[in-house]
Amino acid sequence: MSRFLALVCLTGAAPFLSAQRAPLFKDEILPVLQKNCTSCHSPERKMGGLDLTTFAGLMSGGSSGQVIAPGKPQRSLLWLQIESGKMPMGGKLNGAQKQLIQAYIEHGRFPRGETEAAAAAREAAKITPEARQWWSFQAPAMPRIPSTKKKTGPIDAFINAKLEEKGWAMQREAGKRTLLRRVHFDLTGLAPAPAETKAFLEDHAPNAYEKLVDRLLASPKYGEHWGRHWLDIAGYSDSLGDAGDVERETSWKYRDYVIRAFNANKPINRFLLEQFAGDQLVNYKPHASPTAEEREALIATGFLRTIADITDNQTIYEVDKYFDALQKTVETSLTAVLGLSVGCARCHDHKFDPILQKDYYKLTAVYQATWDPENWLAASVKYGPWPSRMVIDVPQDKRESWIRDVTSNDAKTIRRLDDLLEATYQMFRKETLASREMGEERRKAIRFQIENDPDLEVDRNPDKSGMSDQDLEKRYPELLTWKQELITKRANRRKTQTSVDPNYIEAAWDVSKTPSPTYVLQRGNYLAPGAEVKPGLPIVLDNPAKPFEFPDPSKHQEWNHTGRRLTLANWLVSRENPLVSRVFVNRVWQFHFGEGIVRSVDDFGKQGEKPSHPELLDYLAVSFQNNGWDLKRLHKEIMMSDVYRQDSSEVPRYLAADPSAKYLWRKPPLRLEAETIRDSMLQASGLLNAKMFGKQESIKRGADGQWMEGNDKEEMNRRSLYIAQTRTRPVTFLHAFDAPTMTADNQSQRFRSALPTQALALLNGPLTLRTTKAWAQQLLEQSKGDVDAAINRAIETAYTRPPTARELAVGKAAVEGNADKVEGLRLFLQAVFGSNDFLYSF
Amino acid sequence: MKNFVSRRQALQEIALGFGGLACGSMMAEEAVRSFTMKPRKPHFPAKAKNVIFLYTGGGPSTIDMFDPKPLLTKYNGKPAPFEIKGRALNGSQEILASPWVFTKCGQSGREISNLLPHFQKVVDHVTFVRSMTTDRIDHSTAQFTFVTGRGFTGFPTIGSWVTYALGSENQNLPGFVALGEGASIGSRAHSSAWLPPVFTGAQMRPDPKTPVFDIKRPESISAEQQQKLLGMLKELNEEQRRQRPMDQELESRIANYELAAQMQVEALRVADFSQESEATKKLYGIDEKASGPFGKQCLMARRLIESGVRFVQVYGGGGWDTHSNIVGQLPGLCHYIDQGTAALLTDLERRGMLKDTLVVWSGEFGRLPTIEARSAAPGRDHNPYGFGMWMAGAGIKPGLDLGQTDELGYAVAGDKTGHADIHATIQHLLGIDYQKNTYFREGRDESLVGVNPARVLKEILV
Repeated sequence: MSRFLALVCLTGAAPFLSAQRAPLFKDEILPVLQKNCTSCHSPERKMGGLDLTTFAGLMSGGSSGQVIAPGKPQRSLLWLQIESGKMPMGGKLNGAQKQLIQAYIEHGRFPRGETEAAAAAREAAKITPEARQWWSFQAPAMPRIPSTKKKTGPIDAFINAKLEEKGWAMQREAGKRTLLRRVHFDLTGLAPAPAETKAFLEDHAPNAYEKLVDRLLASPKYGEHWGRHWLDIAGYSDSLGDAGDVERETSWKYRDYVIRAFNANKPINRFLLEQFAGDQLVNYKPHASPTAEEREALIATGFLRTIADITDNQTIYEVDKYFDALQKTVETSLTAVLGLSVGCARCHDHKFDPILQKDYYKLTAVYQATWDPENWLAASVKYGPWPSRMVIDVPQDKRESWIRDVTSNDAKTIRRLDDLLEATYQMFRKETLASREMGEERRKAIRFQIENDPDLEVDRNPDKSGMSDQDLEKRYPELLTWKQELITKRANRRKTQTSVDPNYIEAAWDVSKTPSPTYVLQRGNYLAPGAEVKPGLPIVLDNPAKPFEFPDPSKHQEWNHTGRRLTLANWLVSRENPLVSRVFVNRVWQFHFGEGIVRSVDDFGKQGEKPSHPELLDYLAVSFQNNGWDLKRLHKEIMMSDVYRQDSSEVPRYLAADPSAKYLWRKPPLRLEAETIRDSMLQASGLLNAKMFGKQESIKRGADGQWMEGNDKEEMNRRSLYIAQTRTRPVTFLHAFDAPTMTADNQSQRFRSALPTQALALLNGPLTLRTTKAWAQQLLEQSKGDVDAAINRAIETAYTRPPTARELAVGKAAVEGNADKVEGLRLFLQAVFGSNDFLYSF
Repeated sequence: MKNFVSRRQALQEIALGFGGLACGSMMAEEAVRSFTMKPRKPHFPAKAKNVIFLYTGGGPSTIDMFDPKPLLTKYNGKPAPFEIKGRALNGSQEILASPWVFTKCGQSGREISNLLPHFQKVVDHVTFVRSMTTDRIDHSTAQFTFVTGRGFTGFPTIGSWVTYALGSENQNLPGFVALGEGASIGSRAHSSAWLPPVFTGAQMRPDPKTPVFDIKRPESISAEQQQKLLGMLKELNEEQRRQRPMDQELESRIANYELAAQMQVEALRVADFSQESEATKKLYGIDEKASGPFGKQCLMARRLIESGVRFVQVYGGGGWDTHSNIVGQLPGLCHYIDQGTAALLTDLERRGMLKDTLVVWSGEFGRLPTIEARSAAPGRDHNPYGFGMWMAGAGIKPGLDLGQTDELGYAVAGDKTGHADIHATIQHLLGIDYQKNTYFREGRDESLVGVNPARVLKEILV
């Protein structure tokens, strides 16, 4: 489609284009003014009192008053002077330039006239005192710990108080094996290995459980598991979410940063500061080579680069995409920490929560310097021309030559040839599979068409199942010729290339210290800007007597940035903010118990659910702040509590009244998450590759078209969070068990569905087959053919308990009833993986 | 539990399905909630047994397809004679006439755009609702609304509600199947949300090799061995379930293996078109380049319904969101769905299945009569104020028109209808009292229609 549009632009629909759309001041209008007007209308000469070098100057007008009447060229002095030929003096604008100016006045983005004070008062009046009284807008205060019959720590006191009101009680502590398994899954996303089980069962010290928790909190696997939780909230994906959903080359550095941060127990306030404003925290100078300290902070801002971003440098006009990317980033990042669906206010005042449309744009202004629609860095620009969204992370002395190299014509040519060739293969494949006649003439025509497509879009993940590249080359020899040319070119280039590896950081930073103004967009429409707004906080969270102020960057010469995001981030983690600590501890609680204290973890507003234990939430939030946002401490306090350690069995009376255990009369059983299931299957079968960090592992289409691990070496057995997680090519096994694809912007809560597709994956899926095969062989080798021992070990590994008599009998029958013992055992292991005691944490 | 299954019946089903399950006490019995796809009797005699919903997400421009507005020609390129309030992306009031020719078709003489030549021939089966509205203007919220009654994520869809009420005739296939892609809300357009997962639409593909991923038994495992495996799964799961007899989720996980095993046989059979006659394959145009994919999905839909599946949702492909270049894009989009849609109606009719099968076609909203000029070639913006949809088959009086929009096709001008009316009508035809099809959750009886004002569109029913 884009191709069609581009052709239309080139072949004559241009007048329509310029008559309808809104040209951009900076990119289109300013160049015309600079060429024709600013030699006289400059800040220095200011003839007629008019300065046309800036938007502000244009809007201030001159000695004859305003020169722009928005929407009305015929009442705009600027246009009348140009149209009549009086200006530019001694020169003339050509037709296209004139049209551009006219269209700009007619459709451009101009602030609506209203005094700031009047607007502010009008807005503030919308927030009623009642709205300010909403529970989640009150700063959490340390509540009184209730006294309960049973003497316990604070967490249990809050839970027991509610249970005692109902005449209910918690259950006794779960058995040691259950606890061991629960803590392992919960902290590391993996089952305990038999040796770990043995050690724990033999440890009869009174603090054996506490030691277990401490040990697993210190395990590097903890960061992988809890990092994955945070990546869900951040909306992390290994692909861009554009038309071809290409894989991102450097986003994994942010994923690794998150894992490291959790493992290092980085205080969460610092963690949030870095992600919202790492660049400003270290005062990074755009386009400089980052120092080691800057590198970490810049990588952290990958948090602000997670949304699906389809902006590119094509010739078609797509300012709406810029605004959309900006707004999605605002919404996703803020909902993650504020637990308010600010997105509703994009188009109008929030219907349910006291978030005004103006509040939304005040927050947008905070981000505007980084995602400036008038100064846009497209998501697709990975190589030159610099600047791009990538920070080049190579040694200073090699930097210049490296940039020169990747931006050289040579490099561009090769990239272009790459695209052309792949597109040709795909076109030829499509035509051949559709059994269409493709003689030499037709093929030439196709190639010509591809070569002359200015907006060529190449699918980077084509389905080659119908016909391989080799088959095509056999049929159409010219493909080989082109391929050879490319190989030769690449080889020649390699000789002259610098030896530095491309090394980027996908980061966020302020593109300039003077971003374009932010306007309230009526109905979210960028072509209908209303009043200009400055960065600020939502009124309901602000102090009406003393509004929060963002600093003026022009007063901080030393800053390389506007300071806006850092200011916002500091407020987010301050005591003044009633939401962030609550929202965070509630998420932590949700990952431990399956549901949050506020079950709508992303919505602490009117549409959300009220907390089941409000005082507990406040207790956790305040003590989290008091203890320096120490996450591991919070985990430990939760996991040492009775409510966490209690059994999960069914109590019919409670179950009937409270089936989802909102009052926590039991520890709710939880089906394991997709990654935990896959990783535990790999671990049980001895295949798990524990290698940490690094670029995502590739994926490929399997024989039946399903997406699966891409290479067939040891890397395919790495933990699931290292396997490419794309938005449109989900790994079938993980997808079946509800791993998110981030087709929405993020997904902070997993579904726990029970579907026949899961049964199919466990019956027929390639992962199930290869893990059980390896495991069966290994078990029989280890037990030296002793079937009882093999089955005992299998069950112990999978369920963290010895088999029941019946399970043992089933297993023995399977092995003995099969001529091929390995296959008999393998089938039994499939049943083990498919059973509920493997798939659940109780 | 306020559904059709009595507690006793539920217990019987468990007992039958999973063999002598010990329920410890009366309390345990009270708490048991069984949700299966077993067929259940409707509230009252049904006129329709099953549904094929052709859900064309993206906002198809019904004024260019089957709801002609001659006045647009008069105003083409000129400002509309009254104010058009769209999302006002640029406030354009400039009318864009439909550039396509409309032809009077069939005995009912309705005018159908020449973009839909196949549909023109079957239009007598169809009854149009020309006065649809929705209160949502963005795709995701409107798409959610059209299938869940609410503009948010996280509510069950109509196929889930229908199968929750009625179950399905074939226990070896999912009762609710989704085919193809197109809704921007993705699989959430056939999700059961908080209704039990068994009522989630299962995504299938009209591919004889893999109608569902992992559907094929690996060659290394014989049929006999797989039976053994299923037996072991059942034994292990039953053994483990004794600890938690009331857990509904564990129960449905056990049931899923039986379903999966049967699906292997049934799904492969349904997706194998080799038994279809050449004439039928040609009718659906399954070998056509552009329209073949949708044709295959329609043929698969018929085969699924024929096999006793209750609700099939076929997506109308992507690209319907014609903000720009509608002139260039709409012909291809219409071509994509035209032949398959018409073939489906023809085929159902000649097999005598149309009297039992309700076919519904709709998008989440329509498109405005004005030009939206966000880009180089003109397009139309979303129109939630008045758009068309159609129904055909079981219980529908064919060849009627209900309601209308104004002369420009902008807003409803009589017999205003909305998603809730359609939800009520579909359930009514299936013999479901839409006010009684409820699920108790968090202190209240939830239903598809909920608090939305709704009425059964009796004037178009037989």
